[in-house]
Amino acid sequence: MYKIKEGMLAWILHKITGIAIVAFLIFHIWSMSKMSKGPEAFNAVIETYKTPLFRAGEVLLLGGVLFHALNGMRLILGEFTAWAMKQHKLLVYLTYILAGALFLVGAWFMWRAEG
Amino acid sequence: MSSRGSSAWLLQRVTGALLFITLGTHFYLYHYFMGPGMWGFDSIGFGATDLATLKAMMESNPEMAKYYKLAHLFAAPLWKVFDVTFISLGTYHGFYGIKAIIDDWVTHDGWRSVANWVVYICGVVLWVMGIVAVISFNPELF
Ligand code: HEM
Repeated sequence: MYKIKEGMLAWILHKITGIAIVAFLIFHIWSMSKMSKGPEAFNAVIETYKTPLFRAGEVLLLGGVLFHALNGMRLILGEFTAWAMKQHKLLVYLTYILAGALFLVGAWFMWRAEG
Repeated sequence: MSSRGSSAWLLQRVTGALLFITLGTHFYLYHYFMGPGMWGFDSIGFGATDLATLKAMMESNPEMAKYYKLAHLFAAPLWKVFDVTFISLGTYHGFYGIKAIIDDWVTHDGWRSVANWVVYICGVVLWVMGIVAVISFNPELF
């Protein structure tokens, strides 16, 4: 099913981003259960989110999520419609372009915002 | 990934498509509304209080502005239901995805079984933690 060259890199990236998002989900739920214990706890956690390391991580995460979400929708479309199956090559490139463009715009806003 | 057409296969697609919608909503709520802006929120808000009250509280105590926004969302029944749904979709889809990768890559039956149990238990523990955090939140501010 994935023998087509254009899909190979996307296939690998889909797994890498999937695993990375799960890793983030573990951190996120753990941190959320601390945050929901009241205003002091909430503000303490928010403070740690403002460090450069965290903000860089968030930007990276945005890229991973955008790719996984768009590529996932492309996979679903290709599996259920004959049209998308035929347009495989075009849709793979479209996924890269759309994810890349949205990433640049999103990253710019995130980096510009005050933590 | 399990074989094409199986119910687990289908469920991974269904939860993926639903995550596309819920993740978009999540970004709007927790990154846009909780972050820089409030646009659109007065019309589709359904928060725990009205926007005027929320804004007044934020102005009177800027240190707590973000917390008030969180409370406005987190204490509202609609967004509790939304978050429970979102967390359930995310933990199911994510941990099932990890299991699928393990099934593909770990060829030794014993190790595969061990790894799958670890993933299963982690998934359930995380799901419970998320649900508890969402449901137990009760700031009594409004
Ligand atoms: C935003 C919308 C999302 C869509 C449309 C989506 C779609 C998909 C699809 C279609 C697959 C199956 C891929 C295959 O069989 O080759 C998949 C796999 C996977 N997803 Fe998602 N997903 C989304 C969000 C997420 C989230 C939030 C997480 C993490 C919590 C996640 C983690 C995974 C993992 C770990 C896999 C297994 C990787 C693989 O087998 O390729 N996904 N996703």
